[in-house]
Amino acid sequence: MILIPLYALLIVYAVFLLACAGFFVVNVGNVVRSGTFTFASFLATFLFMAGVAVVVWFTWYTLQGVDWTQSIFSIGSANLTL
Amino acid sequence: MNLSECIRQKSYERIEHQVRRHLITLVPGFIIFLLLLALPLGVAWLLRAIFPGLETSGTLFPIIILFGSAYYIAVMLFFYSYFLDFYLDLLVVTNDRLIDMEQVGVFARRTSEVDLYKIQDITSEVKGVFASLFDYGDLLVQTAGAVERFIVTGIPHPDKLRQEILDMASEDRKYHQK
Repeated sequence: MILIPLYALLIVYAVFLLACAGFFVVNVGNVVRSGTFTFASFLATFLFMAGVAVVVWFTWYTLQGVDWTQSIFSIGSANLTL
Repeated sequence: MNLSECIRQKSYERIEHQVRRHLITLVPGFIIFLLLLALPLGVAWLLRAIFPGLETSGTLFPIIILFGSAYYIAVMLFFYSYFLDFYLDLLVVTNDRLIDMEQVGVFARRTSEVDLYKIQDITSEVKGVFASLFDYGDLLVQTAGAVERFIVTGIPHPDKLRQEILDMASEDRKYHQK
């Protein structure tokens, strides 16, 4: 019986954040390469980064007291429980 | 890199216009963005009504918060990319040529250009209620060059721009016929 711990989701979340960071870097690269680094593109980039910072902070703040070692579900057991 | 470097501006060339799509063309995407932002609030309200003890659930609560967090980041990234797709589409009109730079999604970019003297015909088209109200529309440029047709969509004051490009093309033609 294999137990899947809750922190496995944190790893998936971190991978997702890395993928988003990759997309963000490509987008910023497009702005720089197209010669359109103006106040509007700066503002959009700043607002996006601020929004992501707020969401990540809220996530961290809400999940502070969570015990990440508890298991979500187990593979191989008769019952699948959450 | 600035725009002059990007379009490899020639020494005698001066930029007359930089035209982007009308801001109003962003509105549908912005409304979808707001709806997508509001959606989890409705879902959260529904979940609370159906499962009153959800916030005290040991494993389900962090799963929902992590999923919600990823959802919001994805929606913001989607709108950021959508805005850049709008903002990086640029028609540059110089006294020598038309350069159309188009961002196609996140990973593709298309740039085409035509010399003004090769322009054969330009059609401006304002179609629809909003387009008529806010005076935006499409510009179709027929050329004798490699790119036979230039289509620029959703630009403000297309009729005025058509006239200005035609005047500049006529001036450029005089110079090239000498």
